[in-house]
Parts: sequence; C-alpha cells; structure tokens
Amino acid sequence: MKPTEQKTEQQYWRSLDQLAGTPEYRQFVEREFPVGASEMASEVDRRKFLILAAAGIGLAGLTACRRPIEKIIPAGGKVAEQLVPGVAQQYATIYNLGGQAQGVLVRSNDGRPTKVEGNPAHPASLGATSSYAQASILDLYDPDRSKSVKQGKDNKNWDDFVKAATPLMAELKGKQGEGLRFLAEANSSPALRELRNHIATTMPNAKWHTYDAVSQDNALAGANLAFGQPVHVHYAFDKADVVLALDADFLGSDIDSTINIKNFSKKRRTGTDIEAKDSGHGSTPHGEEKKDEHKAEASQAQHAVPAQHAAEPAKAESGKEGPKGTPTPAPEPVSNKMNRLYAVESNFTVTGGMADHRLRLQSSKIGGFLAALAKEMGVTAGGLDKHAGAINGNQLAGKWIKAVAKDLNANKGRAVVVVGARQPAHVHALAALINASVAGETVKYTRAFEDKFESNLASIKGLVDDANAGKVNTLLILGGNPVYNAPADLKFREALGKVQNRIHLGLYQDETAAECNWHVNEAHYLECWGDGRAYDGTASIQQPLIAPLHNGKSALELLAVLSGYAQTSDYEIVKTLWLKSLGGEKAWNKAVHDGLLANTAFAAVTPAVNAGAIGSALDAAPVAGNGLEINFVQDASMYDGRFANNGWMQEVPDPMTKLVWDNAVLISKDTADAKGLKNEDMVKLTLKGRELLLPVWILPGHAKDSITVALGYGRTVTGRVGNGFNEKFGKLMDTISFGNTIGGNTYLLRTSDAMDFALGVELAKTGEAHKIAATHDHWSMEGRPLVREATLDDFIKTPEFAKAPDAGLHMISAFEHPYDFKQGNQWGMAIDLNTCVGCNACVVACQSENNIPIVGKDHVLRGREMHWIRMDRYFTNVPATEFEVGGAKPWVFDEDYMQAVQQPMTCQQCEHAPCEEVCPVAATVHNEEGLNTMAYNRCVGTRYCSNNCPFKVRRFNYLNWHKDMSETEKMMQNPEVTVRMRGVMEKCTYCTQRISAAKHQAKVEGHRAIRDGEITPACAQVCPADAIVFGNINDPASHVSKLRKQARNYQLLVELNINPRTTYLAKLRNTNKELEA
Amino acid sequence: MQAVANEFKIPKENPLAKPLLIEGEQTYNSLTEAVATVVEGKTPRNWYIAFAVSVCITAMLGSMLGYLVLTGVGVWGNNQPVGWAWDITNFVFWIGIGHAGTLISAILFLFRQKWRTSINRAAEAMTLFAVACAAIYPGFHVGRIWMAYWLFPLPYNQGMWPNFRSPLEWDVFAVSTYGTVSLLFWYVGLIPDLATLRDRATTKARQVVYGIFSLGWRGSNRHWQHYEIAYLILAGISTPLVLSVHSIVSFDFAVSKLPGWHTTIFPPYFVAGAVFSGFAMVMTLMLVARWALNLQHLITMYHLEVMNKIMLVTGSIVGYAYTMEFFMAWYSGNMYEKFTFYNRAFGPYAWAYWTMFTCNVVSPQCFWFKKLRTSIPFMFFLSIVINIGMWFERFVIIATSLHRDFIPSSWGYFRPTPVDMLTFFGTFGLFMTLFLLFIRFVPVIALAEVKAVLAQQQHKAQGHAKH
Repeated sequence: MKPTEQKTEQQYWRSLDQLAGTPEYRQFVEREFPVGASEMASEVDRRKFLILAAAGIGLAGLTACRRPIEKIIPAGGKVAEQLVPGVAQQYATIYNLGGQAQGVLVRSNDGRPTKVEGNPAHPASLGATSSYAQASILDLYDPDRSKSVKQGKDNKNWDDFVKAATPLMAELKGKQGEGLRFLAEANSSPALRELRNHIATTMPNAKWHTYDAVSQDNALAGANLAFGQPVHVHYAFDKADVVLALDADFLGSDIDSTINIKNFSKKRRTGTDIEAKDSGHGSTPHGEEKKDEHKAEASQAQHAVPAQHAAEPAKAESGKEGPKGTPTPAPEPVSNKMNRLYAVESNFTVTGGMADHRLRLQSSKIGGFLAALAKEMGVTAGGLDKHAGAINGNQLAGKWIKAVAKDLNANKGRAVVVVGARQPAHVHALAALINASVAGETVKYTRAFEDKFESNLASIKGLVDDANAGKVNTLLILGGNPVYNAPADLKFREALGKVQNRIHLGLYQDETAAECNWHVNEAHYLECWGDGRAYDGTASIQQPLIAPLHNGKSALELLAVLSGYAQTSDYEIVKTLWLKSLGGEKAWNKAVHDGLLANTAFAAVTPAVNAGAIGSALDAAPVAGNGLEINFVQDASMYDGRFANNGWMQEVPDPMTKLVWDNAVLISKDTADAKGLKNEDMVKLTLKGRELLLPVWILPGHAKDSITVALGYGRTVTGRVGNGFNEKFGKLMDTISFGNTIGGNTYLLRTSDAMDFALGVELAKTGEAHKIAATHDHWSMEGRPLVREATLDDFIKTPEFAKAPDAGLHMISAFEHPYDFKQGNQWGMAIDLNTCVGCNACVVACQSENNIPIVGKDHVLRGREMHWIRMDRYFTNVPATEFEVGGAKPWVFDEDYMQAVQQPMTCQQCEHAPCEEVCPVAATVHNEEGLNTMAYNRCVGTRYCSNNCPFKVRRFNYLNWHKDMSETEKMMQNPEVTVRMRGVMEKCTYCTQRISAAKHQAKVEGHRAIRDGEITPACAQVCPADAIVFGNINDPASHVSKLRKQARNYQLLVELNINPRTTYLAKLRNTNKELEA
Repeated sequence: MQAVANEFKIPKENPLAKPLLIEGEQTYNSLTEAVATVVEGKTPRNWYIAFAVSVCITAMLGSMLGYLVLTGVGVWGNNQPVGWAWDITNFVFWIGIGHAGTLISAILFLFRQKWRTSINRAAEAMTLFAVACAAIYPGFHVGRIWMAYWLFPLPYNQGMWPNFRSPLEWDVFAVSTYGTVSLLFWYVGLIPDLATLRDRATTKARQVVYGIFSLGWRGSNRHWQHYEIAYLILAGISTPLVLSVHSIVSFDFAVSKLPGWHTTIFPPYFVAGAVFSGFAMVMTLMLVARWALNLQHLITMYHLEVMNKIMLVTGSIVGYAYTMEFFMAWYSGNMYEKFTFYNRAFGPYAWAYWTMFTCNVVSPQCFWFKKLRTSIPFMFFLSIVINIGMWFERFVIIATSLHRDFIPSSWGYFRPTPVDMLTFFGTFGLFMTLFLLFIRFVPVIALAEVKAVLAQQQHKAQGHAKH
C-alpha cells in the first residue's frame, strides 16, 4: 500500500481543537460569520465565545452523524434520546464466521463501538465469544481497510460503480443471467437467501458458488453418506460422559467451539465440587472464618447462582432449609459425574491437552482406528476389516481400542464419538453409525443451512472449469479471498483472468481485489444491517453501531442494487423480510434489541442411518499407506488468513506452540530427532511437485511421521500489519527474512485432492535458520507445583491433594498491613484449571478492554509482549531442568503419554504484594478492597516491581507502543482505561474500571451493596468455560467465595507469604485404569 | 641533604624492617617538585591526545543517553523477565570500583596505615569519578527520567513521599551520602596541597583559582590543628559509609523475593567484592599514572605488593561467598533456590558464571607467589582480569537470577543491544575524562601527607642510628 493512500483518515476528528484546525471548519466560520472570521485569531471576546459555543453545539450534533440513522436499539433498553453522554451502551448484534452467527453485545462509547462481549441470550454465545469475535473490532478500525471503490488502480466511488454496473447487469438480465456467477463464503443469512432467490427467479441461469478454505464439507458429506441428507451434527457435550474425539479440535479451532467449551465444561465441573474440610487451611490466612459458613448457607437462597453451579453437592444443613424448594438430588458416585475425554489426533490441539487420555496418531490412520474400534464395539459394516488393517502393529492403539470400546459400550446413551472436520466423509459416516448405537441424547441432528449439498470444492471447481471454458462473463466475488486460498491445483488466478468482468467486494484490497476490475469496499459487520443463523439455526439480527466509516457497502446492498431488488438499503431488506414473519414493529424492535428471534432454532431431525451405504463407502475408500504425512490446519489466530492484518491475532500466542507472527512446520520431538531437525531450521517441503520454505518448530506429542502446517500465513497483498513492513513495524520486524511475508503460504501446497492431509510430503533441510518468536518456549514445569493435577480417583480419596505442597508452612510478616481485609468488598478471583481449555479468548478480550498495544515480532523475540493475561502451557511428562532445549544433552521422555496443561496467568493481586514493597515512589499500592493498584501517573519506571514479581505478570512500556496510531484506531480505545505512555509499568487491574462503574451504580442506587456477578472482568466475561470467576471474597455467599472453599482451591507460591487473591482450582483427569501408562 | 638520606637508609638484611614508603634520596622540596611539576609543567602532547579521545567517548555517552531518553528504555536489551540488565550491572560495577578510594582514605587512615599516603589522593578521585559514572545508571535506567526526582523526599504539591520501604529508596540516600562525604573528604585533604600550588603559581589565573579553592590556607599551626581534626572526623564518618553503601546496594537484591537475590550473605559479600574490584581499578590506574608521571619513587613496589595482598584476601572472600551460596542453595532445600544456582552454573548463562569464577576466584590465587605479586606486567594484566570478573559477578547475579525465576513460562534470555554496549563504553570515557582533568590540575599525590611520612621515615632512621 502506498503511503499517499493513507491520508483519508483525517476526516474523523475527536476533539474541538482538531475540528477547529480543519479547513472545513474555517470555511464554516467564514460562511457563517464573514466579519467575525478574522477575529478568531485574536483574543477571546464575546463574539468569539459565542462562535466557540456554536461550534461546540455543532460538534455535538456532528458526532451523532456517525450513528446510523436507522433505529438501532441498545441492549440496555434505552433509546438514543435517553443516552447519557459518556455512559457506554451495549447493542446486540451478531458476528458471522464460517457461515455461523455468534450473538454478541457490543459496547458503544458515545457512538464508537469499543468492545465485543458475548450475548448471554444467544444460543451460540451464552455470554462468551471466540477470540475471533473479540478481535473483529480491530478490523473495524483498521487503517488499512479498503476505503474506496476501485476500478483497477483508480479510486472511484459507489455511484461510479453503480453507473458502470447497471448496463452490464441489464445486459445479463436479458440473457437470463447467462455467464453471471457469484462466489461467496458460507453464509446462513436468511436475507441473503432471499436475495439469492430473487436472483434465481429473475436470472435463472446465474449460478451461485460457495468457497471457504476452512469448511464443514467433510462433515456434511459424511452426513449425506450416512443419512442420505446433509444434516448438521450437534454434539451435546453437556450430556456426554464419555467423549472420543478423533482428530477433532472441538474445544479449539472448531467454529462452534465457544458453545462446545461451554457445554463440555459443565460436565467437567460436575462431581468436582467438594468443599475443603477446613476452608481456611493453608490458602486463605485472611479469608473466611468458620462462623461465616452458616451464614453462607443462609444467604445462599437470596443470591443468584449461575446455572452450571447449581449442581453443587447438597450440604447436610441445606436439607432442612430447602432453598427454593428444589429437592436435594441423591448423591451419585463422583466418578460417573465428571466426563472422560479420549483424544486421538495427529497435531497436539487444545482438545488433546484437555483429554484425559490422548493418543497421537497420524491423521491418515484415524479412519483405521475408528474402523478397528467399530469392530471391537460390535458395529458391523462393510470394509471395516480393510481399514482396521491400517493400524495393525500399533500396540498402543490396540490397547486403546479395547479400553475405549469397553468404555463407550458401558456408557451407551451418554457417550459420543466426535470426528474432526478434516477427516474424510466415510470416517464421519462411520462415526454416525457408531453414534447411532452409543450416543442417545449426546448427538442431535438438524437440517443444514443449504437445502442442497454441494461441497465447497466441487463448487469452486465448477466455477474454475466454467471460467476456463469461457462460460463466465461476470463474476461477483462477495467476500473471501480465493486468489489466495483456493486449492493450488485449480490455478484460480489464471481462471479468474479469463472472466471478463470481475467484481470484488471485500473489507480489504487483498490478493483477490488486485485481480479484479472493480473492487467495492465492504462494510464491516458493525457498520451494516444483516442477519444470520446460529449453529442451531436460531435466526439472529445484525444491527450496526456506527455508520460505515469508509462508506462501505454490505453484500446485501450490492446484490440488491445489482439485481434490482425492491429495497436497496440493507436496513430495509432485513427489516422488510423479518417483518413478514414477525408481524409487527414491536416484535421487530424486540428482535433487534435481543439480537435474535426466540424459538427459531431448527427442529431436531432423527434421520435413519444407512449402514449399507456407509459400508460400501468404506469399501470404496482407499486405505491409508505409510510415509510422512502433512496436515493442513486452520490457524488458531489467522483462521483461514483473514486476520492477517489484525495485530491482536498476529500477536496472540498459539495455544499450544505459543508462536506469534509466524507459522511453522510442527513436528514431534522423535521425528525431528530422526530427521536431525531442531527449532528454527528452515526446511523445504515438497508435496506433489509443489515447494514451500518453512521453519521447523518442535511440538512434543505431535504424531510420529507427521507434520502440521497452519493455513493463513504468507499473505502478499494485505495491510501494514500483515505485510510486516510499515512505519511502525518496519524496524520492529526486520527478522522477517523469507519471502517478505509473515510466515509461509501453505495454500501453495494445498491441492484439491489434499485439502486436509496427504501422505508423501518430503522435507529437506536448507541449512538456513529463521528466527521464530514464541512467547513461551519452555516445556516443563520444572517439578514446581504450579498447575496441580490429580486423577479423579485420587481426588476422591484425597480431596485436598492440591493443598499438600503448602502444608506445614509457617509464615511471619515483618509488616503490619494497613488494611483490614475483613471489611467491605474484598475482590478475588478463582480460576478453574479443570475447565480452562486455553482457548485464548481471555487474552484478546483483555487486550481489547484495556487498550493493550501490540509490539511486533522483534519485540516479542526480546520478551516485551504486553498481554496482561497470558496462557501458560506446560507439558506434563517432560523431565525437569531441560537445559537441553538447545540440544546439548540427550534426554528421554515418552511422547506417547504426553499431556498438556494450560494456566491463565495474570496479576494475582497478592495481599502482601512484593511489587509494592520495592517501588521507590509508591506508584503501586494496595487499596482497602485488596486490589494491587497501579498509579500510572506516579510510575517512574524503575522496573523493580517487575523484577520482584514472582509471577512476572507486570508489563513495561519499553517504547512508545502507541506511536503512529491512526485516527481510526484511536476511536477504538476504551475511554475508561488510561492509555499508558512509554516508561511506565502496567498490569492487570481486575478491570478496575468495571469495579468503579459498578460501585458508582450501587452508590447511585442508594448506596446498596454490590451484587455478586455484577462485576465481570473482561477475561471472565468472555470465558466460554466459565473458568474465571470474580467477586467479593468477603461475601461468603458469593460464587468466588464458594469456589475458594472447595478442596481443589490453592494459591500459587504460597510459601512466599504473598497471599494472592487469585486462586486456582486444581486440574483433574478422569483416567481410565486400563490406559494408564 | 642527600648525604643525610643515604646515611639513614635501613640495612636491607633486617627481615623485620619495613621497606621504605618513599624511595630514593628525597627532600621536602624534591617531593614538592616531583608532584607539583606534573600540574605546573607544560601539558604533554600525550595528555591532549588521551583527553581528546576520552572526550569523544564521553560525547558518545551523551548521545546514547539522549537517544535513550528520547526513545525509551527499549533501546537497551532489557526485557520482560530481565527488567534490569546492563544498567544495574554497570551501576553496581562502578559503585564497587568507587569503594577502594574511601577505604584507603578513611579506614587505612584510622588504622595508621602510612603506605596509603602515596595512593589515597588518586584513589579518592577515582571514587568520585566512579560514583559519577555509577549515578548515571539509576538515573537513566528509569522509564521516565523527567520524573526521577520523585525518588527524593521533596515536599511538593503532590503531597507524596517516596516509599521508604523500598531498597531502591535506601540506595538513593546511601549513594548520595557516599558521594557527598567522599567529595568533602577528598577536598579537605586537598586544601594544603592546593595552597602549595597557589604559592608556587606563576600566573595570575592559577593564583586566583588555586587561591579560591585553598580557602585561605596559610599552614599555620591553628590551621593544621583544625585540618587534622576535620580530616579525622571525616574519616570517622566515611568509615561506616564504606561498609554501608555497598551493603545497601546489595539490599536491592537481598530484600527482594527473587531466588538468587534473596540471600543474607549479600552485604559482606558485596563489600568484599567492592573492595576487591576497587583495588583492582586503583592498581590499573596507578600503574599507568606511576609510569606516565614518573612517580615510581612515591608509588613503590611495596605499595603495589600490599594492594595485591588485599586483592588476594578479598578475592578469596568472594570465592568463599560463591561457594557458600551454592551450599546454602542445597542446604535450604528450596527448589527455586536450588534451581537458580544450578542454572547459574549450568544454564544458558554458564559462560558468564565461569568467566566470573575464573577471573575472581582462580586468578587472584596467583598472588600467593611473590614473583607474580611483584611483577608489574602481571599485576597489570590481573587487575584488568579482576575488573572483568567483577563486572561479570554483577551481571551473573542480576541477569541469571531474573531470566529464570519462579514461573517457567516466563523464562527468557537477555541480549545486550549496541546501545547497551556503547553506553557502558561511554562511561569509561567519562571516567577517563575526569581522571585526566584530575591529574592535570590537582596534585595526584597527597603532598602534605607524604611529607609527613618522609619526616617520620627520616626520624626513624635517625633514631635507629643513635642507638
């Protein structure tokens, strides 16, 4: 992007001064007060005062111009007339990704959307969101977004485009749409469907193609195979006791992972709530006292307890009280309550990290594993023997099959087999067959969004073939970036060149835009109206929060204008459509307010499974051979590459590898050793004659003879962040040494016959090295009691196992604390390691809420990343003191039994905070509510606090990270949080701005007490697992207090006598005795 | 006079006799001539060359610091686990060097160690210049230097006092007190010599300048009496400071929670290390000054040998401390402590640890041998080795403790940037600039005190002759 094109940002002003300095304002003054204009420059007199006052009023009115004129309705129920300046509002809308809508509530500060949160009422959110949704707000303000309509390289405007397109469309209409094609990404929007239907009726020969680089093709094809119809498979993890995940990252990269984590964690939580015998022991010297416990029981009924915690074991006394009349359920044996997860996978995913047992297996052998399992379980279908042969000789897999088959059969009705989206259709179909016998309520089927099933691959292949045959005259590409991510063998770019009229609609002027005649800048989802369906079919309304910053257009508007639809504004299209079914303005307003239409979820269907078809498909499917396997996986940060210019996503560490700003060849330690590879070695990958250079990164526990590469990197036409070269990052990113891109474009190896994995990849060391930035490259916990973990059985025997390392400590403090921590609100946090999967949503949410800057790859390499909350990932059977990471000393560990743990780590708000003692200027001090506060204005930046912080959670502004921030990015900043200047220390504050806001509210409402759950820090708010709970630990009835009383509760580094306010609940694994090593 | 001196020479064969502190046939006048001509004579060309080089290096220091202030601490290599690196390493290094001066001036004065007189002036000057170099770091390493005055307990409109519980705050007081007292002590000692230069002045300018700084010294009995008492009092005040300043600097580490820092052994260990490095630096400078200024008869082999013996002792103390730290880490049973020391010796910074160990513990053991102890090239070489080793000691303590502490996920590695290196190099330029100015304008040897030693030497010799 040329620097000259980036001037247009100046059209947004944020202050009176700035407005007064613009030529427009001077003109305005001259026009209105021709005589007085010259007086402006001199001293303030009455006239000038009046002018300024008028300008102030003018400005106040003008800010409102950024609000869309259509009626949008904030979630709080207030309408625009009641808005209080400076008080934020939330609006319900939806975020669309992968064809599914996730309901979100977006905070608006005086007309500027600033933070995305989950919509608790929305079935695809239930209050949480994915990290993608969190980061989507940065895209809105991205200064590199496409800002104008373009014809070739020339800037045009929308009217120019309409003028040029109208005769073309008229001509096409005359030919019934012959030669007209559309290429879009998956989208469940009913409004879009309405437009498609309109186009299909007016131009029956036009054709609609769909392509997503990351898709649900295999699952739908598998369902089509098994049931004869492309149904959607929904896994009810809240009902499943035994889960077998086959190459399925349902807690990680899957598009509906938010809801999967939500449901999975419910089952993870049951049976683990055992109260500590002595809740004060070891962990809470200042905490709850015995006498408070009775009060806790008494007040329990008055406090709302989140649903998933209602299942706490009934206590002896509660029987006579009978809170709210719920009958005390009979206590069940605990081991039947917490679920058990088996994961069989090639890449080490967060799902594998959560698994109670994990088997590493090449992706190509997973089908074989499932066939052998089916045989063992007594499922009959053709071709099972043939496929089961693929894992012959793998003793561990054999052991697994016996144990898992037994477990699944023993839990019929409460078990489920989940197959990942990358597995071929016949594996999905076989899983459906097994689920037919074991699943019961744990699997639900609904109809697919599309009526007729056509795979993405077939769809884009058809388009390319037609284009090559000269049958395509006009192609409208509605979002997506097929030039970058279409299968390499289709040569999409060349085929596109043969299309006469190429029109692209997109947020960015990307690789595809560069190949088109016309590019229309798309409106961001927070700028336009729309709709969509949640994973379960719930219809949801998308309302804008801000008028398009760059006059972008939505796909709906573009299609409506081009096809001559009755309405041409997206608001009218959506509203008219929904008014038909809603019946009235009131219902519409409610739908807009809620962000969804209640009871519109698809009804469950119960299709009959066709064993014969599955058998013949298995018979037909080839059996995987041997050799080195390559896996193409969706990236945890980039998705399919669309987040390349999103700095938050570039800098959020991958949940398992902890890599930022790069992708790499992920390889197991044993395979790397066998091939003589070490971290950062550059290798040349060769697959079917296609080559790619990528560095190596060892991921212990990855399947043997298998490598994984993430999609979405190596973008060539993107913004400043994605290019890695710009004023801000130019110097910071000089370690980008290959291809001048961030990471390598793995789509160059991905062909239509190897979309997910392929055998026969070759790997050759080039002898060069590429520096990779990882925020955390240490595997082992060094035998330290950081993440405390036990098997479920051991936990039942010794519920207080997590407190064991702290026993017998006697601690004396030299200083008397100035505050009595038994008075008033005492904030604390409890983090449940048993439910946290490590999805990173909290990291991005915190970044968004607290105006946390990104620093660029070079500074991550220097260890200067700024995240206030980080996800610590450890592998648990790695030997301690691994100085050998450099490769000096051989050391042995068993990758077959490797497990991973995740620990969210943020400021622990120690009561005796080591940081406070050493700050020479008292810039970090305690407050009476137990917060370790940080006065940025007082900080001189000695960094002594960070040195003395045992958790190393403080972050120092080594440079001015906010330098060169564009005007649009400034609009995104949360006004409630100070933007820190260089030279000061910063850290997690438990979102102190939210605490203050709640306290103000409570004060306004008659000095009432703050209710439990009223304050939710950004990390806790977004957490799909509800693993992070915040509240008043002085209130024995609060959720956090109850968690702190649990047996699994422990504090970190308690021997330092720091008494952290954040506590952790130990991790449990529900192991199967037959599989224990 | 010459005849007298010859006559009173102590017979060499007496094994109990101490060697002469002043060699050659010296008179009061010859001493004055020897020292004063250094100041009064024509400035040698080599001085100009050395000065020009030093000033250039100092200017580079200035530009590095300017760059730092304008850009941010990020121009250095400091990072997340390693919040302090070369900045505080260099601070402690320079403060340590500044130790020998006051030790020689004050403690040896109180213990009536007459051999100090030949080297104390230069050693004290070195102290001052080292403290000046050291003071740069705590000042400039902070993120917002324009707010650094908040570290001082000043009553201003914020109504905020500094945090007196912070060891960094104690540092502010310790270092500033040490700097002030050292300056006073040095200056008081200079007064009689400045008066000598004033009296010998041949130009009006010199007469006025030296006249102002000699504070009207007339050498009267009354002046001498007051002078001796003032000097004694200052020596008394300085003596605890010698011990306190580095003890307090060590508290920056000892009072923290960090494994590898949190040890009670630090105060004596730091003081011993400071004396060790201070003497090594005095040795380096004295050997050069002695050769360049032809002062071999005043700074004799006896002086050098005594200093070498002190280095041997303090080097051994430091070695003991290193060993004891390992013992304590093992004996404590604390896994973090154990790991830290294991990591120091065998982790990624093992190279730094073993450099330190070799330079500081192994190399001074050579001074057990008289031949090496009295070899000027060898002791020059070793004094530099010891200074390198002592720099590494501070680096090892600071960086290796920080880079891997409690939570393995936050482990990192520190690499210095060119700005780090040039800044450190620049402080040597500043030090040399100040030292060159010192030898050009101030008597490098405490004339008045040396004369007293000469008188005593002659008196003793006369006494012996009479019996």
